[in-house]
Amino acid sequence: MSTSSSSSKKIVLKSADNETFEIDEIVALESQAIKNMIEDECADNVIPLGNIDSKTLSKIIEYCKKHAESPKKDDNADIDEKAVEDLKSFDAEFAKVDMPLIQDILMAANFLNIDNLIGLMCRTIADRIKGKTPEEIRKILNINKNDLLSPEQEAKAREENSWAFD
Amino acid sequence: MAEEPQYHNMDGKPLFDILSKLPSKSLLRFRCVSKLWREYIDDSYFVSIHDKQVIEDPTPVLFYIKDSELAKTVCFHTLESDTISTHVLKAKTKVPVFEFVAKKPLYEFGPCLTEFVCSCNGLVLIETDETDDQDETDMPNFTVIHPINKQCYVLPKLPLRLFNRGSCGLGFDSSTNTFKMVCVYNPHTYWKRDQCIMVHVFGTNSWREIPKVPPDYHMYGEAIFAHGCLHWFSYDDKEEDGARQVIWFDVKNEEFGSIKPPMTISKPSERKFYHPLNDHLVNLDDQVGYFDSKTTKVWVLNHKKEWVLHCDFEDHEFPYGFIKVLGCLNKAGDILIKIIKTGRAKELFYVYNLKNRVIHEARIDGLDLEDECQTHIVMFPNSLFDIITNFNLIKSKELKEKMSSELVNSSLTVSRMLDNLPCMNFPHTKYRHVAIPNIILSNNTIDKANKSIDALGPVSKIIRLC
Repeated sequence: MSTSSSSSKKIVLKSADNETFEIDEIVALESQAIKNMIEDECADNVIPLGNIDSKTLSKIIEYCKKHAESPKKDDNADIDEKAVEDLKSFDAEFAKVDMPLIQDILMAANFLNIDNLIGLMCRTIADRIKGKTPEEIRKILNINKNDLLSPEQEAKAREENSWAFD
Repeated sequence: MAEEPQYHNMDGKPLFDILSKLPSKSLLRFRCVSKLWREYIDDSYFVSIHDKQVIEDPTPVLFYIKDSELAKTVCFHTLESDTISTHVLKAKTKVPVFEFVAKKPLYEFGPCLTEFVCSCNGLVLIETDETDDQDETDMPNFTVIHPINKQCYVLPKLPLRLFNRGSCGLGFDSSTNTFKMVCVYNPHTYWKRDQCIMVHVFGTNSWREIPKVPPDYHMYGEAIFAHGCLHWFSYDDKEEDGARQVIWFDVKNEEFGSIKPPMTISKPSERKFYHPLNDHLVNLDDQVGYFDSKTTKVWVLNHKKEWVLHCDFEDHEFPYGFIKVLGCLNKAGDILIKIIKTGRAKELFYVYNLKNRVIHEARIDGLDLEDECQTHIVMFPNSLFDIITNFNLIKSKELKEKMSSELVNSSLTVSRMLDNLPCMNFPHTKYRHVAIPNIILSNNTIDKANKSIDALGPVSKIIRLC
């Protein structure tokens, strides 16, 4: 394990509702966006995240901590299977939250550019919606009502893809 | 979030990522969710990415040709596996999901041909031929049908008159994302040396001749598309013991070549009902399979172009008849087999379970097929692929506008318009078929068009294909 001086360095994140989170730099580096900021030396003391609330941010930090602690693939070619299994079950537990929070995490992960977390959230959403009807999707994902198809367009789309509706 | 926005406005990469993880059946349903979702799902880049990522069980599509006094109709049905046993297939509806109508000539009693040629990615290539009275040459018309999306693509007429039928194949060029059809014909005589190879790239208006020719063998059966190449079984009875070959055509580079079929050592117990021409190729989950009728073994061509033994039906007593291997039914690799008995006997189906290596007799429920009815089954890979969007999206948009603005009940306008259809060749012959994909015309427009065509005389009619 690398316990170099950089791991003890702290980064402070500030959520939209002005809550601050002090985390190890190594945890923050899970985010490609923060990593770039640190490398460009524009992350002095506090990084304000004006579009992420504290509830979402604490979930994201929980995820990054766990993933930062786990051995990385490029560190060691043969990581022990237990660590992989452990991370898998952590991910599965982590995703057991309601849909609005999953979407918040996804949007925040996308902003912070955390690749694994984006993938996990997308898979979770895809699994939850794949058997649903368009009406249910609109409700679950709170789709913008101004973007709906006109009744004619919808009837046409249903006719063209009638095979998919039974 | 502090100021919770009313909508998430999920778009860009996250939405793209979610959609690319969904099965195509869900996606086709989700085209109705919102305008943004429809735009994403219909995007051609998305389609090409998605079809490579999500692996789903295919949908078997069964079809047969119904012959009536006026027309030959190709009737398509989608099948689904019974949830309990894979060897029961059920037709979703008694009524075909799609019908393709080829009208017979009104003033002639000569035979006209409507035949299944081959399939590629679940698309079905149908040939309808006309015979010229004067010199008895055949003029083939080709139509590619997407039975699930209810779309047709009529290829331009071959600029050739033919004395005999050749071999055709439909393949996909992934470097340009377009389909390509190749025809190997002898325009003048039966001599192989006179071969003429014509290629049509979908979305263009013509055929072009290519200089490359296949090795000097007779090609038989359906062309099987896999690994970017079309493959035909070929056989030459002039040679001692009948030489068998597999001829391939590289769809991208437009080159021919050949591979030797798998080596078989015949046992004393080999089937009596055997002829080398009962050997055939089959698409097994996007791999080229070779069925050796002598040993009832199935081989698969690996990426090193070597034959690997896949399975064998040796231990199973099939009834007397031709064995035809139809393809993989599911991700587990179970194989659908058909026995074609001689005479007017009903076709029999079997499913080979790859895991347990057992063969079960299979049943197709929910269809009233006549005993002598010859069926074909192709596996539709549940892809998002759509003929119209891929080849003629812009054209069909233009066409739609043109159609509605020009359709003023004038028979002349309609006939001129039909001649101008970019993707639908409408030849001026007595034997014609018109396939209008429902995506282009509304019911009302078709009624109007038909009324106008009726005024022209009983030559042709627009038939709604769904």
